[in-house]
Amino acid sequence: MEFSRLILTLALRVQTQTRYLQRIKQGKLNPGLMVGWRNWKDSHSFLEFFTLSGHIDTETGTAAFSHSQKAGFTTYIEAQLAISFKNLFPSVFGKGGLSSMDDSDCLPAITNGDKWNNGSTSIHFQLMRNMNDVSYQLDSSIKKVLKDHVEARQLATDCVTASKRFVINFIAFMSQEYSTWQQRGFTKKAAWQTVCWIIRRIFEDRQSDLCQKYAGPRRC
Amino acid sequence: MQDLEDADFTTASFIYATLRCHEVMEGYVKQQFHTHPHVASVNTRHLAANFIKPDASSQAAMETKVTALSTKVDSYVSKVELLITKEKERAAAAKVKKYKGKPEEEAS
Repeated sequence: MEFSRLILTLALRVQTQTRYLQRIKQGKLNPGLMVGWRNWKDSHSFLEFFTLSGHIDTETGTAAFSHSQKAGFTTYIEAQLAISFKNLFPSVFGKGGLSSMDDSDCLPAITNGDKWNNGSTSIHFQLMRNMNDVSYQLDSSIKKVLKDHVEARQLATDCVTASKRFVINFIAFMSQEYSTWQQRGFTKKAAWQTVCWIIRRIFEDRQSDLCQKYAGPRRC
Repeated sequence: MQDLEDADFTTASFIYATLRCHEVMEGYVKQQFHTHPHVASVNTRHLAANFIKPDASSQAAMETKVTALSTKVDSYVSKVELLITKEKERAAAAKVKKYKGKPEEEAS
């Protein structure tokens, strides 16, 4: 069975999931894994759930729901997750105008360091303020959908927790790196440029890893 | 990535991709970002991009300028020392003159 072999392969490769390996080896595949992929989050897709714009037009939102169903996704969350695998950056970093697209020196959505962290109202603090809400929302969804599948629910919750931990550390690292380079005597522009290079590198790592390994020549 | 005919394959692909992401993330968190080799390489690139190579000609010009300034300062110092010496001599002479002139005034 292709599905079993694929799950076994992924579990063998991912060392952090070893506690699930024994059951998979014994052929006891948890049916909860097959419920759907909307419960599986990583750092990129976790960041997609932050609504920092504060407003989405009803027409735009409805059109997005409609298109996602036409494309074969059962829920809008599935469409969001699928797109997160296509984009290099999550929308918080990557959603910019046409003029700022494909700019390797900065992030399309955050063109300078003050937009990221100005001490009070910047994106850093918006993300931190929304962190618990998003985490709670995702956890609740998992508990509801996978209420009959304890093991799958635990795995999905672990994924959300790991994503949250990564995002919190990542946000702190970005601000710290930005201020460190400034303290070393670099200008704000040069300091932010370095931070952008690092962010780009991290997300490029994630993207290249996916393209090399997850689906092989069949899908990527 | 999505296979409409094979939902299981799609689900497995997504789970696999997600876990691969978590492996990459785990690497960064374990290394606390700063010490991760990829971040270190970016920092090295940044330092290389912002490194200013010393210019040999400007350095020589700077040395000449510093030498000239040093000579100028030396000449000022010697002039000031000469002035101080002259002033001391003049003060001493005035003192002697004053001392010699006192008895004559008393006598008259």
